[in-house]
Parts: sequence; C-alpha cells; structure tokens
Amino acid sequence: MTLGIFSLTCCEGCQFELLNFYDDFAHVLNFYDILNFSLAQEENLPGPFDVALVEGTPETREELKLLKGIRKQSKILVTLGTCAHLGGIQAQRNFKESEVKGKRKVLPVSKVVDIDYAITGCPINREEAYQTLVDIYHGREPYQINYPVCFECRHNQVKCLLKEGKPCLGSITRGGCNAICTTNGFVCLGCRGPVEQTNLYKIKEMLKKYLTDKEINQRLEIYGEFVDNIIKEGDRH
Amino acid sequence: MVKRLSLDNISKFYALVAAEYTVYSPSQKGGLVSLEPKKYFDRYSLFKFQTIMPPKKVLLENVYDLESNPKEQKLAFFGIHLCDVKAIATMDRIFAKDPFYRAKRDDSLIVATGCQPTESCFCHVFGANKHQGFDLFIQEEHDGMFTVFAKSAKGVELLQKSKGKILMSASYQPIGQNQNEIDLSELTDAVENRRLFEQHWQGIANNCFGCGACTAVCPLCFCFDTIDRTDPEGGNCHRSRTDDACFFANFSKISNHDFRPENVDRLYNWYHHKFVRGPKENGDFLCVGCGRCITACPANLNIIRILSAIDNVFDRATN
Ligand code: SF4
Ligand code: SF4
Ligand code: SF4
Ligand code: SF4
Ligand code: SF4
Repeated sequence: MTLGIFSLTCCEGCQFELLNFYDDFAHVLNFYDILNFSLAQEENLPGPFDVALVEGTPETREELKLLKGIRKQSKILVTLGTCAHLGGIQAQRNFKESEVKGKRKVLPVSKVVDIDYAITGCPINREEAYQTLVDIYHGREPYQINYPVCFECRHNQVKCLLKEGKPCLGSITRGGCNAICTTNGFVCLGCRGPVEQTNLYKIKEMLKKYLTDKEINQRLEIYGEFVDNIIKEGDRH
Repeated sequence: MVKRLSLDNISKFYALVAAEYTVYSPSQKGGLVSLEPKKYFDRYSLFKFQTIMPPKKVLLENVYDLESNPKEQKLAFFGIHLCDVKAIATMDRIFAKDPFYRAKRDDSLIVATGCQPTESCFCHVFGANKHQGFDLFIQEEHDGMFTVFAKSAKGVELLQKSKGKILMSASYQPIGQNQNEIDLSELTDAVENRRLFEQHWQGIANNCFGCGACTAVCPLCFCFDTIDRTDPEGGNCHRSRTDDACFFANFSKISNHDFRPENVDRLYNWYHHKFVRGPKENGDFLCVGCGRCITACPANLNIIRILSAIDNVFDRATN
C-alpha cells in the first residue's frame, strides 16, 4: 500500500517520534511504500495514497489547500497527534480572544476535512502509530484504547498524585501512553485528549480544592473544542 | 506442624523457599510497597500494611499469545495477608479451567502473615480474616519470635527443613477487627433492586470518573479483553489477552451496540457482579473487604459507605 506523511503547522514532534527508533519504523516499510514524507526523503509524489498521516493544524491558505488536496488523494486519512486531532497547544489561542485580537480560530484537521482515524497524544505513542498502520494494512479496525490514564497508572503501582493534591487530569484522559507522566511523578496534562465518556464536572469540582477557576480552565484548554462549553458556560451545579 | 523460629531463622527459611520457588514478596519501591520478585528476606517481607496490588497482578498477567503453551511456573507468595489468600481461593474456582492461570497457580506456594487493619479494611464482613487457604502462616509474637504454621504437605515439607523448635500447640492471634460493619443479610437483595435506588446509583455515578482504578487494584476483578494483533515486525497475527474492566465504554459494546451505555450502568454492574452474581454464580461475594478500591479511587468514593447507604435505604424502603 502507499503512504503519505504530511505536516501542517506544529512542532513536528510526532513525525520525529515516528522516526525516533528507525529500526522500528523500518517495519512499517514492510507494508507501505512511502510516496511522500518531506521530513525524511527528497523525492515526494503528490499522491494518490492509500493512507495519509497528517500532523498539525492548517494555519495558512496554502496549508488549507494542501490539506484538502491530501483528503482528495487519500483513501484513508489519519490524524497524527493532538494538534491535528483537537487543535493542540496552538488552539489555546481560541480561548484567549481578548489577548489575541483579529486572529482566525485554530481549526483541527477534523474540522476542515473528514478524518477516518485519530492517533492521539502530544507527542504520539509511536508503537500505537505503527500498530494502527499495520491494522489498516490488514483491513482491520485499528485498536484504540478507550480507558483513562488512571487504569494504567494504578497498574503501574505508583502513588495517585490527585489524591496528594496535585492537579492530575489522568481520570478524564485517554490512556495508551502507559501513564508515562504519572508513573514518573508528573501530573497528567491531558495530552492524549478526552476519553470517550468523561466526567468533566467531577474533575472540575475536585481541582477547585487546589486551583482557581481560571487555572482550571487553562489546564482544560488542551482538550480544545471538547471543553468549549464547559469553560464558557461554567458549572452545571 | 508448628515451629517457633527466630528472625534469623525466618530469613533462612525465606532462602529455603527461594531455592525452590520464584518468590514474590512485599518490597519497597519508590516509597510504596508492592509485590515484587525478591531473592532475600528483608524487613518488608512480612509487611503489616497492604501491597498496592494483590497477587492477581502476578497470577493473571496479560498473555501475549493465547495459542502458545503456558509455561509451568513455581511461584511463591511470601508475606501476603488473609484477605488476599481468600481472594486467591475464589479465583481458583473461577479460573479452574484457564491453562494460563493454572500454569502459575498449580505449583504455587502461599506463605501468609498477619497484618495491621487500616480504616479501609473490612475483611471480617466477608469472613476473609480467617486463618485458612495458605500453605504456611507466619505469626510474629510479642517477644520478637515467630510462630510458623504449616497447613499443607508442601508447607510441612519446607518447614521440616528449617531450624526451630517444634511446638505441640499454638494458636492464631485473631486479625485485628475494624469498626467498619456492613449487614450482609440483605445486601444482595438491596443491590439487585436497582429500580428502587436509581437516584442513589445515579448520585454515585455523577461522582465517579469510570476510570477503573478500583478494578485495577481489586483482588477479585479479573476482566480482560481479547485482541487480535499483527505484530509489525514479522507480520504474524496473534491473539492476546489484556487487562480490561467493566467500567469502560467499549467493554460492553457488542456489534456496535453498547449494553451499558452510561457510567451509571457500568458502575451498577460492578456492584451487581460483586454482590449479586458473585454469590449466585460463584457461591461467594467477589469482594474480600481489602479496601484497596478505596485507597485507589481518585474521586474518593468509598465502597463501605456506598454499601452501608444502600443497606440503609433498603431497610427504610422495606420496613
Ligand atoms: S495520579 Fe492521576 S492518572 Fe494516576 S490514578 Fe491518580 S488521578 Fe489517575
Ligand atoms: S500521562 Fe497524560 S500528559 Fe502524560 S503522556 Fe499520558 S496522556 Fe499525555
Ligand atoms: S482486609 Fe483484613 S486481612 Fe486484609 S489487610 Fe485488612 S485487616 Fe488484614
Ligand atoms: S476508582 Fe473511583 S472514580 Fe474510578 S471507576 Fe472506580 S469508583 Fe469510579
Ligand atoms: S471491591 Fe474493593 S474492598 Fe472489595 S475486594 Fe475489591 S478492592 Fe477490595
């Protein structure tokens, strides 16, 4: 099958993560011909692709055009990383209307074109990305973890940081990173986006003990549009 | 057989066990105590407080390839508490036909010890504080000596090899009781009657993340998912078994229909399995009152308070 790997506006960390251990990445080449990957190769073709991976958010007119072109050229489009999936760091601009005047809203890839699957995380878990590609190659629905970070965190037998009064977002965040942050003593910042059914109201209530409303909202901004209403409308209770 | 051993001889006894078995024992790791493989006795081996994870962490490990032959293992659990021993007995019934469980459990050795109940413990409610189900039990006496009880042939054989004076009679010190009381007589009926308490369950679910942290640490939660995967390296497909829990949305999804669509359905199911289906299908509650789910819950939910409240509401509703 043919593969294209594209980057829009972002730090390009997810692409680098794909290449981080080249021997592992090389396994993907058993299944795919990479026609376009400008970070890693010089000769790139415009398509068509069986699968396209897209990271980042479209910020300029050229990028919007590029993205729509990729969609037309690809049978399956998979977003790579949190920027493409939910908007990522740059989408926090959307919550600061008063500070950033006259700027267009940051749109995640899924708001501009239809997407087929999302590999989430900032950066992604490369194993998950390889597995997704291999699953797609075999015509299988990619396996996506749909439980919160807490489950992996408890399995790793470490202290619960939230219980110690640290603002951890693991309980509402999709796992699959093997709770890498909390296992190493850092709170989860929610980089993998919300798990399918979350209890945002409860986490807000819990964080109120340690943070101001403004600080809580700032932490939740990483979830992008998903938390829009909750941040703007305030609490249900 | 019962013997009286000094601390020094207990440590030698540990080495004796370790010569034959891979010994899992409470070990200090990053300020917490967890069950880890350990060759030598240390001051955590007979730790009086709970390990974060129960022995199921070892006995029910994920299986990478379900079509492979399970490897027979000789494992020993040294220094586990009576609640965990009872949980293993229940698991033995549930996983009696599971070759991967049996390969780890059949030749295993259980060396239990006394404990210090915490405010989250309520084992006596389920009779999980009884001295039974182990091969050996090590009891610390007030004079710093240890009484070792051997209950099984395996246990006797090992204890015979150890130094120490044989005692003609010895008795177990009861495990300290906790204040937590739950009336079990009506619990199954009360939990089964979801409609009567819909609001109550909803109230709990509103405060629950559905994160499954409680299920991860529970000695009697054993849900798993079966996944087919192609390994990227060789392109071979294999079927594997991996941790899962009834708290997760995908768990009850079959052919795109979710049989438990809301968190309240899943939370209720957890209690229903432990306190209704457990006794009906396995002859025992799927809870031994270890309190780990309380310690683990990031939302600070408390099973003791939840069960007592249900009991109370049920009392009021039916009397
Ligand atoms: S530390 Fe965070 S991720 Fe881990 S159990 Fe606590 S809340 Fe969940
Ligand atoms: S623990 Fe949270 S912040 Fe860390 S990698 Fe996982 S999802 Fe991202
Ligand atoms: S639940 Fe009972 S047996 Fe288990 S640690 Fe607590 S007091 Fe000991
Ligand atoms: S650990 Fe607490 S919040 Fe998480 S699923 Fe269990 S009861 Fe709910
Ligand atoms: S439900 Fe809670 S108290 Fe009961 S056995 Fe499981 S972890 Fe222990």
